[in-house]
Amino acid sequence: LLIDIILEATETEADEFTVSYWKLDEGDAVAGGDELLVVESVDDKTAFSVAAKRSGRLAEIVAREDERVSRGAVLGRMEVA
Amino acid sequence: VRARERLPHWLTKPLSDPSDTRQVRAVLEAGRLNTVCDEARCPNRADCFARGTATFMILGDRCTRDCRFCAVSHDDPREVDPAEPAEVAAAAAALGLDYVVVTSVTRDDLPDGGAGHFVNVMSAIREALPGAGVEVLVPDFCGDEAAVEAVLGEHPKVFGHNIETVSRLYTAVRRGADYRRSLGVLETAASRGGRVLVKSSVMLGVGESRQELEETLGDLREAGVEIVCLGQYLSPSGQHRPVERYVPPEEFDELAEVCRAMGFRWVEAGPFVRSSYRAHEAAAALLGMDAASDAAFERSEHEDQGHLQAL
Repeated sequence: LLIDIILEATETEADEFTVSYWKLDEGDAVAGGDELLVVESVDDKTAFSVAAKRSGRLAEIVAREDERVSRGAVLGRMEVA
Repeated sequence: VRARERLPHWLTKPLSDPSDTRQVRAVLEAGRLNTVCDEARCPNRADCFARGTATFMILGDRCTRDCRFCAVSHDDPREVDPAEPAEVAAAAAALGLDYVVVTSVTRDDLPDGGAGHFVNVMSAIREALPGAGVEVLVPDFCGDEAAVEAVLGEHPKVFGHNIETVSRLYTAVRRGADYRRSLGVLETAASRGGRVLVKSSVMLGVGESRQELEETLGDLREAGVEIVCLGQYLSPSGQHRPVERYVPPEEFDELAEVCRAMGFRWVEAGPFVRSSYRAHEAAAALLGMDAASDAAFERSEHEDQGHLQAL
């Protein structure tokens, strides 16, 4: 089963982010709660880590490094059991 | 796979759960209130809102000064909203706050710098929440001692005024402010006696040297400041002063020890530390300590035992 990795920011956080870097490669195993990637927000003057909600495998990186992404964007996909 | 890191890893925090901040957001919107959390784009705002707290920013959302480090908008100020004291008090009550932190933009256009409005807000909070403590973080009121006295007359638990940076950088980043005048505001508050705790904050990474920083910390202690906050300066935009240096967490820890050795009673130091960070904790700990110390003193007077030290 493939699930989307969504950028779920709060309404107090920024609308626009930049993908800083992924901590994993496609195909890597992931445990629930693991940090997947870091996005940066000029508006919030800080960087945010995005964690895996479930365990599985990082199937696809959709938003590449330096890509600008909005709240709600699909960042990647995970294969979960 | 690691690409370049634009911010050091210690400036990364987890994204919050979107459902966590809705209650605070709804209360603020209902009262049409400003917070310094939003206006200064504080990196901690989602955490604080999720914990049900916010720092109210009164006297409008336009500042009459244009500090090179600050995201609050600089523009012609709006009329002071006479309904704001009641709205702040109602919001604090709706959030169930037992400790309310109030700050403001700088209002050099007002004869009293906005001190009277601070008084009205504090008074409205006390009426709505008689048991709540109030902490204020005030502008320099152009050094007007009467304005400082007026605010102190409302008995805030903590009186804060931020020195922000070292003396040399004032011209570059804090135009319209004056280092000695800011120290004077703190000194006036500290010398008044009573139970008010005096607090100040310094941003690191603006371009200060270690020696300048230690001199500023020494000046704050000399002025009577008891609570000090040290945090990383983060530039709000490309139009603002760039960050000169990212200070690692272990250096903040070491600086905290330096501050304690200098005699500060409460030190908050860390990359994400801001003036209102854990504000309640510092006040509760120190005021609790003072109460305990008073009680111990009274007891010792009775029992002729010498009194306990506050720290």
